[in-house]
Amino acid sequence: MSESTISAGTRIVGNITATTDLTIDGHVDGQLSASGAVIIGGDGTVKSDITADVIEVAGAVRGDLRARERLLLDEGARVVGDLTAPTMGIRPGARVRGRVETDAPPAEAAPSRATKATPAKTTTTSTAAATRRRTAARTDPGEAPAKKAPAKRKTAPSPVMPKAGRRGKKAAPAKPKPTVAPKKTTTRKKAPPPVVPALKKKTKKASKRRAR
Amino acid sequence: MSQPLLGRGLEIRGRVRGESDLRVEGTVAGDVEVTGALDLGAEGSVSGGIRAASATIAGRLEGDVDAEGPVVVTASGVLVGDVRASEVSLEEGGVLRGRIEADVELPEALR
Amino acid sequence: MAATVIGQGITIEGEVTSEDEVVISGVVRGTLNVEGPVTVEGDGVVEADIGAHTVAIGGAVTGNVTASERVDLLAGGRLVGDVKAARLTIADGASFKGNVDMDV
Repeated sequence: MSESTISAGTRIVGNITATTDLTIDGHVDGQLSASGAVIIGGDGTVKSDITADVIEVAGAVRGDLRARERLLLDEGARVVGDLTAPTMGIRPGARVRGRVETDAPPAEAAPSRATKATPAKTTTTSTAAATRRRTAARTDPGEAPAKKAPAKRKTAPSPVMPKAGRRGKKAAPAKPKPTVAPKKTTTRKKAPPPVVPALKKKTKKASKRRAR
Repeated sequence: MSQPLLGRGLEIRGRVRGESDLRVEGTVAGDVEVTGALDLGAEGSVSGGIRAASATIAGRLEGDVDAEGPVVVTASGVLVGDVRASEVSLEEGGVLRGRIEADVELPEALR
Repeated sequence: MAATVIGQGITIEGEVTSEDEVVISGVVRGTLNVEGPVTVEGDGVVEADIGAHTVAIGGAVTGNVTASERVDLLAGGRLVGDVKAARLTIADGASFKGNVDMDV
């Protein structure tokens, strides 16, 4: 379970990225992308799109939820927004208004969301820096695959594939649909050869310089 | 308490209406409208709209659902269509593709 | 009272306001306004102005720190920025670059 918690008395306006689990009992307004689980407690209020491997909601959300593995709305959850996940549970007593899509292709990777407009509330310098950093991560062959790709590839396709095959029989007609992911997926899959130590060192230094 | 039933192997093309509950285990190509609860069994399939007091989908439904009460898609259920209901629940493993239209009261902070 | 814990692996870019205690071992960029105590742990990186009741810094902070009570710069802590607080301690092994205003 996660050590990271946004407690009830805490309010965050801006972007959150998480590589570990995160529990939200407070208020978040912005963008949230995680490679772990995001758990929104009964008192949590979130006004933000969320991308994560697993999303569990007992509180209230206004925004689109996109889980790469599993999405669960518990009793008492209130969500206005679109839901996408290969496996989804909506418990009795949970309320939803929006589009629902189960058995969908894996959600796009968290870093690609950087292309989306970030809220104006975030300080411009840090946002610009973040965008630069993420852009670098995507194009720089030394950094991007070494850090992001393996984790993603491990989690993203595996839970979906067997399912897609099984459902294929039953749900064939509705299957073909435009997906957002393919471009990103191919970029990610095109994993370049192992990083040359010298190159890696350089990028590390470069990112440190940017961080300042 | 025997419930009206469209049994396995039965295929209906056209509209089904009833002033009762209804369990569907066969195949219906057309709209289904009942005043009571609609229960679409795991082997059943409907392509057409459904109007009922409440609905449980364990089979396959391609069409919109309009219910005053709750709609449940079970783990074996497939629902491709929009749903208007007091409440929609989905068991893990079930398939739901479409819009859910329900009244959702969001807290002050999210309005 | 529940605390907000921004653990390793969490990055926040924006404004954080809280009535609770806030513990940071992740990354926060932006601003931090907290009524309770703020602790930046060894792994924590804060590039933000911090306003809080008390601030304890064991990690790296770049930004101005204002505390209504006290600021403790712990061993291993690094602070680049100005401090405004009634009390300030700087432990052996801490580094600090900035001005201090103790409101005398």
